[in-house]
Amino acid sequence: MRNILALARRILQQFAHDKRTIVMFIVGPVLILWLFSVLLNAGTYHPSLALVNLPRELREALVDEDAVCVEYSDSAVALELLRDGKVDAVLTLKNGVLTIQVEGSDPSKTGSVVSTVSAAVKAAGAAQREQIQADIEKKLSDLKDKLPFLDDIVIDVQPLVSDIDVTYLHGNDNWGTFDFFGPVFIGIFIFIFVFITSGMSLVTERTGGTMERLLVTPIKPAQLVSGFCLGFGVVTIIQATIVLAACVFLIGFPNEGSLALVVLVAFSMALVSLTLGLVVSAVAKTPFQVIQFMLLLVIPQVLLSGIFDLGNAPMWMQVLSKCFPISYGAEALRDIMLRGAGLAETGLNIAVLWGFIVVFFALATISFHRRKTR
Amino acid sequence: MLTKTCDSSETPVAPVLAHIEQVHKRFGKQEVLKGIDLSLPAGQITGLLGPSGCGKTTIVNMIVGTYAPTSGTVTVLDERAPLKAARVGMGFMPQSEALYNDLTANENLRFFGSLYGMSRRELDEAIPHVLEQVRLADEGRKVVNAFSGGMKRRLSLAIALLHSPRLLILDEPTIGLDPKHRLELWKTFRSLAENGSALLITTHVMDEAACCDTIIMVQDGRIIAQGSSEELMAQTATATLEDAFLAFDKAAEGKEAAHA
Repeated sequence: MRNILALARRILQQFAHDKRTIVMFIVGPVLILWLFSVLLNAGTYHPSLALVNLPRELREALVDEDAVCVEYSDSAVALELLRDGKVDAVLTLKNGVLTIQVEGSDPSKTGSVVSTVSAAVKAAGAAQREQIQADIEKKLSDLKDKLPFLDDIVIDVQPLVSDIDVTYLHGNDNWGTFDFFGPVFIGIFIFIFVFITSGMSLVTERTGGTMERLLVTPIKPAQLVSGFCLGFGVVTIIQATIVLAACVFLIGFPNEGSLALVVLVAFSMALVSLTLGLVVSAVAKTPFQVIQFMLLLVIPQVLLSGIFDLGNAPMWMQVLSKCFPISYGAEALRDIMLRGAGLAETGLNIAVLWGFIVVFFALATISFHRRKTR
Repeated sequence: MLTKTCDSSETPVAPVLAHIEQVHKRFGKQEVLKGIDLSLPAGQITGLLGPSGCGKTTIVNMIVGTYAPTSGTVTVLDERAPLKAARVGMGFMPQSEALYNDLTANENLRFFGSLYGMSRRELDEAIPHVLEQVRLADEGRKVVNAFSGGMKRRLSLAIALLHSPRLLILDEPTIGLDPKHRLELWKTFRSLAENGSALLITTHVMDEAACCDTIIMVQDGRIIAQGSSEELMAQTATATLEDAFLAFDKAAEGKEAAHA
């Protein structure tokens, strides 16, 4: 135990001497998460459209949907604008068929054009239906004045769906894209920052020669790995708490659940990353190899962690994502921060994270033990 | 084991603190050590002399326990390798700096001292003493980054001495030191030996080797000669250790050629 404490203490002393790393450890994730929040909450895109001889009603409906509209009588001129990238789409109406000619290279712009136009068409259609209903009622009442026996007849045109109303089990209609991704990003960034630090730890011991001296002391491999976990663990829990508090109170991340539980999950993820980093550090020979390992071991986890919906991905990829610790942490964070889940609902995910910690701890100890005597 | 005498029968009976017997070490196809026997008796400075790449550092790694022998036995402080308890009684100064440059000298000493089981009180007493010993008395609070190369070497030695080990393994301890500090360190080594420690010092500097009680000449993974500097020069009828080394080297090559 004394050995573990001595090692943890040394790591904390090294941090205390290294002000720049302390600042980077806190400011780095907070800054990046803030940038993401600004970027993803930037609001919806308003497409710019070239309209070729569209009826007034449709034109007004498009303007009501916040589309930027320019009118042309010649479709050739409008297509020229599309080619030059001045507009996102050209709309023409012929025989009741509305043609949307899009530029097409950016799927998000195409999607925005289509959804804006359909909303406008729907609104214009509703207005037209009300107009028709009013016209019919007007004509019917005229007829009723002349032919009293028609008094019982009522004509009412009702569409299948007249309006859509969205209600929320969790969250509200103010939640943007970022609110959904935010909790996952918190987990990912803490994971990456901790991985780099712990991944480098044993490598710098080796390149600095201190490993040679450490190996000669009576310290055992398990004590060495424990000491690193304890030292970096203290740093990590401070980092996780500050970063999370900044996210929730300053940047405005949604948090429906308890902050303490969020810190617990973030800390568990950090320990997974820490122990995985130690495994890598025991295997890698140079800092460069640590970065390569990070690309190999962390980036796929990030991609499959829930940033992208895996519902349509091939089965093997869904299984793969279940083999990655980040997936469990991200799911727990989402459950707590977006759905207000408690320990009972997230307990399993947290338990899986601790399973990973135990496995990586053992692997780090074994790989270190094998290095110890050659 | 403790009563085993040194190889040469003239030397007085002293306990042997480390002993390696018929040690071979192979890395893949390359045989780095080809049957090494040596003993480190208490109260003596043993010098391991040879060109770089001859196997000196491998022998050192064998004794401190970072390499396991391919065959043969290593016994340190009455414990046969792999070492456990014996590690506490051994001080090691590696060839590289092996310091935490972002910590102060005191913090470096405290950390390694704790790993050797020293209590806070023991450390408070031992650290000023050992810093005095290596002439760094006023530098304890300074961050190692600010140290000169020579100061770092001396701090590295201080770490090896801190827990008062009976067996000291020093891999090129005086490399990069100016003559004045080198002389002072050799005085320290001598006084440690006089207090009953066993020292193994590797070097490739011939006049430094002359300060050792026993010189072991290593070439190509083999011991080619062993004895005091006077004995070695007398055996080869040479005036300097350097000439003696070359003579032994030539003789060893001749033997090998005869075998082949």
